[in-house]
Formats: sequence, C-alpha cells, structure tokens
Amino acid sequence: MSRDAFSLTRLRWVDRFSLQRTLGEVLGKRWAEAAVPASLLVSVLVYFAMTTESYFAPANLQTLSQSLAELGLVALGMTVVMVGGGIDLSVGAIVAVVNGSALIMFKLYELPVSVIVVACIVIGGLMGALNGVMIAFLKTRPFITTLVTLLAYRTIAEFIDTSYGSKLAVALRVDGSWSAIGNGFIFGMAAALFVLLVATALMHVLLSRSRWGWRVTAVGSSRTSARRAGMSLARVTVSTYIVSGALAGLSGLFLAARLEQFSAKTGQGLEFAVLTAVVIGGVSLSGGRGTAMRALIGATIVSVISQGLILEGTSRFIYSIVLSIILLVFVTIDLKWGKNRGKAVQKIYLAPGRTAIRPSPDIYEPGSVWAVNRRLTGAESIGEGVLDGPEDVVIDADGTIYCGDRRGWLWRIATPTSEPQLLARIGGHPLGLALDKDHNVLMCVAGMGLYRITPEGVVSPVSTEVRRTWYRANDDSAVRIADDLDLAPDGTVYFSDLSTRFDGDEYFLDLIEARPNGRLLAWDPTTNKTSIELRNYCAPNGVCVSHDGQSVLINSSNLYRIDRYWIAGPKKGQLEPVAENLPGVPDNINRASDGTYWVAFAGMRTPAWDLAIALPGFRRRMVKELPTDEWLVPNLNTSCVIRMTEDGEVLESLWDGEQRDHSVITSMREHDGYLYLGGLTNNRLGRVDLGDDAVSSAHEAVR
Amino acid sequence: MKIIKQFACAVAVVTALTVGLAACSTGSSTSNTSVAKGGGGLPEVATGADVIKATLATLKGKKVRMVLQTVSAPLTQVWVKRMQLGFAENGVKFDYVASEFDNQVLATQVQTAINDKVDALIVHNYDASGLASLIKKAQAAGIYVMQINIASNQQSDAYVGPNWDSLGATIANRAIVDCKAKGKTEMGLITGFAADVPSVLFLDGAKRAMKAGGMKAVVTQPGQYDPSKAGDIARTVLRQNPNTCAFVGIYDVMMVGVAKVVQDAGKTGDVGVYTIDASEGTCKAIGDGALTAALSYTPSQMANQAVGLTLYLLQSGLKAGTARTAIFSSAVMVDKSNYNVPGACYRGENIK
Repeated sequence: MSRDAFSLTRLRWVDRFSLQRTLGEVLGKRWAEAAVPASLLVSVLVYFAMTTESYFAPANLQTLSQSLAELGLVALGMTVVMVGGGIDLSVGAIVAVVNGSALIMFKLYELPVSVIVVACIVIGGLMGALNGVMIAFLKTRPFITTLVTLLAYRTIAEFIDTSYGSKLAVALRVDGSWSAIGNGFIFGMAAALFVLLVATALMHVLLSRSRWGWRVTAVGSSRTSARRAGMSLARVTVSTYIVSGALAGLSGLFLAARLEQFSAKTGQGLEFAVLTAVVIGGVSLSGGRGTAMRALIGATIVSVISQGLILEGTSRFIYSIVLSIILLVFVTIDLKWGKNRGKAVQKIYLAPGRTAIRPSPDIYEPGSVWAVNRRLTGAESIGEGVLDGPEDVVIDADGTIYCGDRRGWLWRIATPTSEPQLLARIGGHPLGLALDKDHNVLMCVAGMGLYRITPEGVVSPVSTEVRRTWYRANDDSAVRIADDLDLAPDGTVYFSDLSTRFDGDEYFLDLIEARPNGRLLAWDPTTNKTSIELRNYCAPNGVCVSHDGQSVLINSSNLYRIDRYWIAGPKKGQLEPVAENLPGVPDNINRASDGTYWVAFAGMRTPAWDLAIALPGFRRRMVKELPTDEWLVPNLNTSCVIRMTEDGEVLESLWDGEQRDHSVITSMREHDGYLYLGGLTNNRLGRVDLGDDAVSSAHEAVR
Repeated sequence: MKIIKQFACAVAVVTALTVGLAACSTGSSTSNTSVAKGGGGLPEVATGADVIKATLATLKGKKVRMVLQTVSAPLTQVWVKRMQLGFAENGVKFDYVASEFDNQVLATQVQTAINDKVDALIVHNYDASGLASLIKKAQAAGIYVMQINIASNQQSDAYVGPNWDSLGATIANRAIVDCKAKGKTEMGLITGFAADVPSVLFLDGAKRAMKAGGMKAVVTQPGQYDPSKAGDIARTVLRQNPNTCAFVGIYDVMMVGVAKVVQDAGKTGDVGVYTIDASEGTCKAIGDGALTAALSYTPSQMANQAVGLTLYLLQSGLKAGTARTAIFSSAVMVDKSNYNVPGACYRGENIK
C-alpha cells in the first residue's frame, strides 16, 4: 500500500478532481473516440425509454434484434471496406439480389437449406468481388464503381421480381431449419443477432490482430506507404470487397428467411443507413481507422433509432431526416476530430490547479541565515565547456567524479583537473546519480526511468515501470520523470518520479500546473520490483536517505518543503514534515559529513510567481493565450546551497552572488572537504573548498 | 353452416353501416349472452339507449392500427381521414403508421403492432407473399387483420378493396371501344410491380377483355407505380409501335407520366390513356384531355367498409383469423362527360 501525500497540499478533497484534467486525459485516449457513439447510444436508449411505453418490452427487443442483425452484418462489411480506404454503395442491392436468389433456391428449386446458406454467402462474395476487381485492377473510383454496380445489381433484382415475383408469391415450403434461421430465438433474441456477435468478434480480431487486418489498415491509411512496404494493394482491396459482399449476402439470407418475401425494392436505401451506422461508430470515411466493435455500436444506434421511431409511429420521413442529420454531424466530427484532436488535447491537457502556499519568509531580514554572500563565487571549474547540463554529480571513494549531461550522456572525470571522459550514452535526460556497492552508477533518466551504468560503461534499465493505477485515465505505469535517488542500507533504491502527467523535458509544465502529480518509488533489488511508496506528492525532486538509514528525505519543488518518509523503525510508513515554507525551490538533497544535510535551491521564490501559483485561472489563461516563451514561470536560476539539520533547521546558506559561472545550482556533493556543484543548465561542474567548516573525512557516498 | 350464417351477418352489418341503416336485421344468430360468437353482442330486444351503451362499452379501449405504404398519396389520406372519423365515433382508438414503400419497415411495423397488442390491424399490403408469416402471427396473437386495397395469398380476416380483375376488364373494355372507333387494335398495358396481386388480377381482367375484343397487347410491363418509369415504357412503345391506340394502366399517378409522354409526342387524342383510380389531379388531366378515362374505385367507400367490418369483428367475439371474408368497393368510370361533377375525383386530406 502506498501512502497518499495529497494532504500536504492543504487543499480540499474536491481539489483532487478536475474536469479539465480528466477531459484532457480522456480525450487523449484512443478509446475516447468510442465514447461519443457509446454515449449517443445511451442517450438514444434513455430517450426512447422515456417517450415510449414498451421499448424494453421483450417483444420489442426481439424485433429490434432482428433488424439489428441484418443491418449489423452489412455494417461490418462496410467497415472492412472503409478501413481499407474504399466505400461500398452496392450493399443494399446485393442484399436484394441475395434475398431473391435465396427465395428462388428455397421455394422454387427446393434446395437443402445448408446449400442455400453457402450459396448466399458465395453469391454475395462474388458480387463484392466484381466491385473489388474493378476498383483494384481497372483502378476505378470506389464511390462511382459501387454506385454503378448498385444500379446494375438493382436491375438484377428487378429482373428477379419480374421473372420470379409471381411464382415466389404463390410457392409455399415449410422447413424447420429455414424458420430457425429467420425466426429462431435464443434467450429471447434473434438467432441472427448471435451470428452478428460472433462475426463482430471474429472481424475485430482479424482487423486488429491478423496480418490481413493490418494490411487492410495500412492500405486504407496510405496506399503509397503500403505499396512501398511491399503489399499487394490489389489483393488486399479485392479481399475487402469480397468480405463486404459476403456479409451482405448473409444479411440477405436472414432477411429472406425472416420475411420470405421479395420485391425489387428490398434493401433500398440500406447503404445510407449502413454508412450512417459506421460513421457514427467512428469508422473514418478517409480510411485506415475503424473497428468492428465500433461498427456494431453504430449499427445498434441506427437500429435503435429506427425501431424507436417505428414504435412511436413517427413518419418514416422523420427517420430519414434524423439519420441524415446524424450522418452530417458525425461526418463533420470525423473530419474535425481527426484533424484537431491532437491540438485540442494539447490545449487543455495542462490544467493548472489550486494551491495553498503560505507567504514566503523574508530572506532580506538583516542578520538572518539567508543573508546573501559570495561563498560559492569563484568556485573552481571542472570540465568547463565540455560538460552540458550536469544536473547531479557524484564522487566515489577514489575521488573519481561522475556527472550526467543533458545530451543523454554520463561523464567520468578522474581528478578535478583532468579531462572528462565519456563513459556511456544513455539517452533521455540524465538527472540524479548514486553509486552502489559494486561501483555502478545508478542514474535517474527523465523520460526513461532508473538506469544502471557499470564502470565499463554498460547501460541497463533497472526500473522503468510500476503497476498502473486502475482508476486513472492516464497510464501512470511508466516512470516519466525519474528525478533523484538514494540507496537505503538494505540496497533498496528510493527515487522520485516528478510527474505522472508530463514527460521528460516537460517538467516545467508540471511546475506550472502545480498539482500533486508526483510520487516516490522504491526499487527492491531482491525482488526486482518497483513499488509506489508515496503518491500524489507535489513535484518530488531531491531524495536522500537519512544518516541513520531509517528514513528518506524528500524535497517538494512546488510546495517548497522537505518531508521525511520513514522506511524503517517504529514509524515505518509515516510521513512527517522536516522543513516547511522554504524561501526557495528545493532541488537535490544530500548528506553532509557532519550529520547535517545539503540542499540546493534551483531557484528562489518570487512574489510574482507566488501570486501566480495561487491563481489557477490566471495560469490557465496564460498557457492558453500566450506563446510558451512569454509565460510567467517560476525562477529557476539561483546559486544557493543551504545546510540543514536533521530537524530541518537551516544552519547556513551559501550563495554565488554573481551567478556568472554557475547560473543555477541543482545539486551538490560534499567530498573530502570540498563541495561539488552541479547545475541543470551549467556548462561545468564547480568545486569549493569548505575550509574549516568541513569535516575532513570521505563522504559516505557509497553504502 | 354456422360459419355461413356468421358471414351472412357480417356482410349484413357492413351493408347496413354502409348504406346508413341502424342495425343488423337478420336476427338469426343473436342471443342474450353478452358476447355471442359471431353476433353483435346485443340482446334480442333493446332500446336505442341500451344499444348505444352496450356497443360503446364493448368497443371501449379497443385499439386499431393501420399500417400503410405511404401517407403522402391522396388515396391513403382519404382512408385515414374516413377511418379516423369512423372509429372515433365508436370510441375506438385508431392510429396509423406508414412505411413509405420500404417493405422491411412495413414488416417491422406490423411486428411492432403485434408487440403493442393492438386489437385489430388494417394493412396496406403490397404483394401476394407479403407479410404472410406476420399475418399468421398476428392472428395467433388474437389480432384481427384486415387487408385493404391489396391482399396477399395468406388470407386475413377480411379483404376490403376493389375487384381488380373486374377493374382491369372494365377499363380495358373502355379502351377497346375507343380503339375500335379509330380502327386500331394495338394497346399497351402497364401494371404496378410484377408480383403484386392487383397487377396480376388487373392483367388477367384486361387481357381477357382484349382477347374477347380481338385486341393485341404491344407491351405488358410493370411501371412500378412510378410516373417516369411508366413514361419510359410508353416512349419506347410509341417509337416501336406507332399504331398503338391506347395505354391502360393500374394507377393514375403513374399514368399521368404516360399522358405526358403521349402529349410530348403530339399524339394526345390519337393515343388514349386509361387508368384505374381517380384522385384529384386525374379529373384535371381528363379535363385537359391528357387522360381519356379513369376508373375510380371509391376509396372513401372502401375505408367505410373497412371501418364497418373492423367494428363488427371487434364486437363479434369471433376468433381472429376465422372470419376470412372479402368485400369489394364499387367502381365508377370518370371521363370527359362527368369529370367536373363534384366528388368524381377524390382529394387528398390533410391528416394529422
């Protein structure tokens, strides 16, 4: 069980929730696209439940299931064609021809039902194949081709009507399995509905998991790319039309068995209903996007509306009008959504939250511990011009210096005067460092997680993911911004994950959002599992195991505080404050040689930002209306290091009043009487002699 | 024998209602029980007040639904209007739906009426095989099913509509007379759909008449009740058979399309256009000379007959599906001589 640190924000319980944040997260999800049709379905059902008396009566649901099955099968076929980048307008006519053919076979030629079933699918498939062949090989446009075949197939239907209509009208044949196909019910629902469900599941798997499905999607997304990837466009295209035709054939069979009647007008206008269904379901008209499940949802919506309006006794024209309005709306949504979703999500994803920060202590009070001095000014430079952004620095027992580099590298520097050597290229943005007992460097890499680099420079991931929180829309399983770490006596690595909402280099956005998005993680070397120790912690940054090894100190860069999380002893699992309402932004924290702690301030609080952070509405407008480089942001360029006791009492502060060499100090390590300085954006490491203050002993960097 | 008696009474009731008489006068199978099988449910002797009370009590809460092909045709509008009036007067709840020529929707609407447990269903069916299973299903559920204008081979409780065979023969004979006067023998026949019952019967009647009159059919094609389709047929015929003297069709709206083609070909008068049905525009077309003659099958009378039969069945206590009867509406020829008589052609109604 992880501990919830939300209370540290001193906000109300309702502040845990944010409509904008939820919307931003949900809209970013792939399944969000299905949410629109799903909610439409629910509202349509609710509407008819309220306006009709017997919508959910078993008899009505039965009737609904029959028409849904016939519409759904055709919609499924249309989906396949549309995912493949085409369109099939001839489906209604195929249904009519197959319906007629099935009745001729059944009533006039009295063929066995099993033969008729196969024949219907084959006839439909062949009619689809004709569409496919023309489109794939003669390179005709799908729209106009299937429009022409629609007319051609309709003529066949009229021929059947003229030649066989009167014979079909008088012929009578009773067959048990035929009636079962048309009017059989399972659990009070049409048998055909179960065929539809099976077909949908099968098509879902085929489209999303099979090689064929991927090819269809690839061809529909970009014909050029698919061809360059070596796919046979023609074969894939023909296959989609065959599937569509075959499913329309199946639908025609069910229709024939259900009503046992034929007219030249059977299935007229079906293509319109089917198109509406699949477009509502979110199958894109421009190809490459859509699933069988979505087609089913869309078909259900159309069937529900159709049956509802029949139940209400509304004029059939109203149905056409309703359908065309819905089609129009969803075609627009399809277009706009596909184009602008990313932008919309980007616009609202950053959702500034409320904060309850107390006024900063006055650091200008004469004689205070905060008095600005020049103790860091003129620090000795290490690796100047070679290093770029060493956020953290660590020194082993031999005095070898290791530091990261924002280009994704790890440097090794034998002595302060020697040339830095590139030890490894990791990628990401290297932040906090630590050394384990095997002389490996453990590194927090923003955008990647916790990594291990051996003295030989071999890089391997240690911890990159945790168990996902089931109730969060955002996938929080990835370690997005691993920031700082330290090792407990038992070898467990405690490390901070600054944000579960923003990626690697977007730490700034998390500071502006100012919500408790971060967490403290612990990687257990014995089980190789990573657990979440603290959740809902606001911008956790520096992490340091206490001198007695019983607790972990953790810095909050947004709440300007330091907390102690007990990892051993009687208080294990408890969280208690160490220092609150600091005047600066605490970054890394490390042990000092005399039993105290060094804390780096990446920046100092300013009245302007203190005000801004208290006003979420202001920040929301700011991020929405201003370009990024005009945002008001927290101050993050101070060179200040403080020394603090175990109880959080600040003993002294060390400043670089000039800030010429070390514009920002994000980390510091004490080693052998020197304090080494690292900075997120500096081009060097620094080293200052602590002089009399220092205890002349090796800093216990290694546990 | 009993069934014959029931039918006798049924027909009598309808006749009585149609011609405005007060009650069934056969008196043969009535009894004193509240609902007699096949009887009207009234005692042998009752005062006028008792009759009103008992009848309205029996019909109270009954629901009748009409399932139509369309409500945008004058024909169906007249039906609906007459039925609304007829059923309302008797305290029966009446409503209607229209499929707008979508047969699958029509089937679903009938199924929905069954689901809704109406007491009687009046269906505007469309072909001989149409709704066969659903009619059986409805009757099994205790719903009286009437078919109006068109009936399938699956017999329902009653068919109310024209005698299509006789209509076909009558209108064809009219055309034959005119053709003979011109000394010509070639005629074109345009039906509705290939398989709908009216078309089949119409064709039987017309062909019989033509055979007897020694005429030759230059074309026999379904115009699908569509003016432009029928027009196309006529255009082709006129080109290939210039001696054609008449087109005889099944539906006036469709035949107006043919009249237009004849007019465009400059053959108005030479080539007669004859049709069944006489809605408002038809009289105008006759006046213009575009149409030669129309045989009206009196839709308001048809609707009144349907109301009468339905009301009877609802009071009869008969088991649904057992009545199986048919009543034909009367036919009136409309031509230049009488087209401007009020009521010669019927008007569409503004129905709600």
